[in-house]
Amino acid sequence: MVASGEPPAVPFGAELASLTQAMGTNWIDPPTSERDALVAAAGPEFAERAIGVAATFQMMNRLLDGVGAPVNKGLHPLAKELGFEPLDIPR
Amino acid sequence: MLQEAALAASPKRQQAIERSWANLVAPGALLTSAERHQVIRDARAGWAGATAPNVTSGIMGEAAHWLAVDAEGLTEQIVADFEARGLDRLRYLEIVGVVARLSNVDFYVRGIGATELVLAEPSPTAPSGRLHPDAVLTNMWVPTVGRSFAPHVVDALPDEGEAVRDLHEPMYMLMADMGDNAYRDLLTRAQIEYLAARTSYLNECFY
Repeated sequence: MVASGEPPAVPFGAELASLTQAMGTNWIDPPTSERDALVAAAGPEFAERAIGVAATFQMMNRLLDGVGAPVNKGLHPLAKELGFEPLDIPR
Repeated sequence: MLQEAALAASPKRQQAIERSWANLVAPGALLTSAERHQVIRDARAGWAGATAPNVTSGIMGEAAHWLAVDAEGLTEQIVADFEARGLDRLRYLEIVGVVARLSNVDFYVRGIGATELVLAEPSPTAPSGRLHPDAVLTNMWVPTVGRSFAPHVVDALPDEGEAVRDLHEPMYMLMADMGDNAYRDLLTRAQIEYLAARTSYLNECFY
């Protein structure tokens, strides 16, 4: 979802949001209903591709947080616009 | 592997999962196969609901647990404490690589509705000892090589770095395509980055 509470504007945004939410917050059960909804909307190959992207960012997030990678200085203005002070992130 | 999945894996991602799993359960640069198996068990226990590390696994178990369930909560002080208690930065880095890649493997496998991959007997082969000669401690908690960016942060252990990219590319996109904002395959670049951003938001990863 975006700040307004509306689904993201990308095609199949609502289904992608639900799938990512299920994969990122339930670490025990498969995201069966969310996956089925995306398959119904966009097809099985699309859904499998999306699951791959969501899964690999589970890896990337743990890599970056695990090594203490600093927030890219070029993104500091954007970070502040999003409402947090990048240098305050515990590092 | 993955044959019983509810959703068929693409051949390139199936092969990437198979290669990554074979690598994860084998000896690493510094950890034995048995130690990597224990890291895998401890990470999976965290995802299954364990609220505290497995005390029998010692400091390595602590690192594996927190990297699995609360990586964003780690700090320089915590990693320094691991080091003071005997887990040096390079062995910690190998645990980072193992838990991170395991998360990609396990979340993908669960995502397509396949059965969790099962640990077999650990290999008796010794760790390789292979380290990057130019790795130094600079602005991160672990030694890195050059101006390190995301897919290269574990390159102080060259085999871990290669294994990360070997999984990252078929799951995300080729390194050569990452600068192309018009890239698309089955998904548009916007859909790909939406999935990435939403996952990172849920994990509170602000990189």
